[in-house]
Amino acid sequence: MKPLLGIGRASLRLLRGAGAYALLLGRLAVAARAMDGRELLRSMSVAGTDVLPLCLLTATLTGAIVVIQTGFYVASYGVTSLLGWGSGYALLREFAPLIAALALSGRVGAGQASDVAGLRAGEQLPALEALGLDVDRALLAPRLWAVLLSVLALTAVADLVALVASLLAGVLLLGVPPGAFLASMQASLRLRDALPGFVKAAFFGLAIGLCSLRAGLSVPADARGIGAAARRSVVSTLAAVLALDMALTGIL
Amino acid sequence: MTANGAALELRAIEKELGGHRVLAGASLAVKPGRVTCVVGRSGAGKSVLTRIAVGLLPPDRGEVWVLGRRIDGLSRRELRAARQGVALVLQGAALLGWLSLRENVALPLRQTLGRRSALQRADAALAEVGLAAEGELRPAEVSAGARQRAAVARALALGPRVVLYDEPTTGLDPAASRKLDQLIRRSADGGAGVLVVTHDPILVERAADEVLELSGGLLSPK
Amino acid sequence: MRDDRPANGEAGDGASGVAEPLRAPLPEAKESAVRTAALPDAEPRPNGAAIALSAVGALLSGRLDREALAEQILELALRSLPIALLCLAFIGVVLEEHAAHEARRAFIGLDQVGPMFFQLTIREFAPAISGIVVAARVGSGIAAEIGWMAQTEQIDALRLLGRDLAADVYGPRLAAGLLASVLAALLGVAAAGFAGGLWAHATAGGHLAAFVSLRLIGARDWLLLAAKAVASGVAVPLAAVHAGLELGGKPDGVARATSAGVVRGTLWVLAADVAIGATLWWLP
Repeated sequence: MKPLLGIGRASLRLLRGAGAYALLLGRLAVAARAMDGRELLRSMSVAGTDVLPLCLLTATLTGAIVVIQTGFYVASYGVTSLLGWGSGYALLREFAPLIAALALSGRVGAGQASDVAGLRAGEQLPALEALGLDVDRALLAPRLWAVLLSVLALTAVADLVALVASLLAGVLLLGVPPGAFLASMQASLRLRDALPGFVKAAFFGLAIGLCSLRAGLSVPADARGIGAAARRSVVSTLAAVLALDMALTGIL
Repeated sequence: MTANGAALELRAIEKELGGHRVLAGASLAVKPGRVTCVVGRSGAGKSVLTRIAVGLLPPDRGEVWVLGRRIDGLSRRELRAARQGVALVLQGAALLGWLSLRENVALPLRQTLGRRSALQRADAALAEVGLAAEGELRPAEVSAGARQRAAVARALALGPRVVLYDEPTTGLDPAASRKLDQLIRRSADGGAGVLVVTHDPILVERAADEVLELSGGLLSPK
Repeated sequence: MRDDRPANGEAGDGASGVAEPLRAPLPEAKESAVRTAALPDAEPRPNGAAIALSAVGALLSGRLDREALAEQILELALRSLPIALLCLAFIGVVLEEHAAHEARRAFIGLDQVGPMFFQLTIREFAPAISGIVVAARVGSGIAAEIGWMAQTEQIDALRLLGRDLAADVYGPRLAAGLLASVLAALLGVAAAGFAGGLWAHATAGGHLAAFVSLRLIGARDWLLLAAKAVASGVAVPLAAVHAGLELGGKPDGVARATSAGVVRGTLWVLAADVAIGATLWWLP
């Protein structure tokens, strides 16, 4: 009986959680129509510039990882001509968006969550609300959509950097002639191979934004809550991104 | 206005928080042009009172009337409309750290005014609280007293008919506190109903028309 | 974050249940702690290498606080497993989807591609994804906690009370973090394989073994898995402790430490992945 109860309770919690996220998304989608444009730009520049170095670094490492892994197979089957295609395809479709999102969920997600928790701890949100300001439009919606747009833009950067890094790693680490690598990439890689990656990135961005805002809005409004928000956001965005990855890979 | 001409009226408010009965039937009426001070030891529920008065917290029982409209039980959107004409100033100023003082003051105005006229109104409001020269500075770059005055400017710029102050002078040095007394007095002289929650006796002495004491969850004249 | 055993001189900062008074410090020690804590950084904070060495020293000499170790193992290693295994199960399904896609494209059976993807899981995905999850869950936990301790000057107080931080605070967390990483990677392989295999069975009509097969797996694969898991397990908690000590004392220190702990941990996981992969490529 006990495990059954546990399962029941867990699924109720899951449903309630999903409902809360859906409500938040709905609220902020409505608010997006009249959101504060300057705050959107500010949030984007914070989210974007803040994580650009991190994004470049992870993309470089991801490119190298993929080419090494592909290299093991290519070497054992002796088809070096496929290395460029293989790693490019894997990067664009799966790796660059996923790893970029995972890394960003740590930085952007934690930052955003603790920021919002801080606005509650410092009473800025209640103070502005009491002055009749629509905080959804002025502060929250811009943050959500800024994360989404930043993740999309950073995915484009990550794609590019990861491809270059995979080429470099192929040449320097595995000793593949650069001409062969490039030719293999050019011959079979199409621009539309990057499309599923962008669709995923859009969902990942939405998930990071929603999870981090919800974490920031649901912790106790005090100094300790700020740290708790960052932690909660990191874990929930991580699970959300991987769950979405699973769902979207099946569809795309 | 309610029947007795009050700008803000609380009727028999009850509120329980965390198993503790904070308010047990508190009532008060703030008349236009008058400053009503609520005093009481810390933890007596003074801040809860202000939050209930502006609809940030719902009361368990009782009625909240603001400018002739009952606001307890309204939806978020209805509340926002009902808060036109109401302003709240909190203890910590609660300004946004990344905006300059004038942008902070202009933020709530921008919903109804264009950016330029919002900023003009903000400049005027800042001048009124003696911060004309500090408009471009960020909150972290000015003193706590100046931050608090900027928060007052942000509230008064909206032209409110009810203003609530929650511990406005806590944490300020005497000189800064006395500047606030004047501002609070002036906001009532302009015709607004003012409710001040405080434990600063000098503020009470210099600004109050009426003093209530909150104790045991009830308000009584002092 | 319920570990508040280290003695804390100035409890009563009002933070709900954080800084409970612990093993009652001596009154005079308490006083000196308060007095010196007011001095800005009288003693330089140890760097990552020094923390690691002192923790290893405490472990080898058996000075590690058993009680703290047990608590950290429960909190960091065991409580992180559900999320890590869930994430790896998701990845298992994703990989099976890719394998099935490749099989359809090449008109071959899933059982010809599936084992290759399972091999990739062992070599790459299980260690990388579990490393990232550990960086998120364990790294954020350690960084937030140490950051909080630094912010409330508990670390300084402990040091002044003459407590052995390596044995009481850092060591248990580093050991538990390493265990978390190794467990997550090993059990992660099982979770990913099982989820992928079930998914193959449910959707592609293949059987479990079309995906989960040890046919291609050799010593090199297990070596890659083990090396990466250990490297992540060492790097993540170390980066987190370091971030907590470095940033905890600053304004918004706890949030900044948390975020930095996660990010640096993730980068170390990926960097170790590249380095170990490249090393094995060059080995015969």
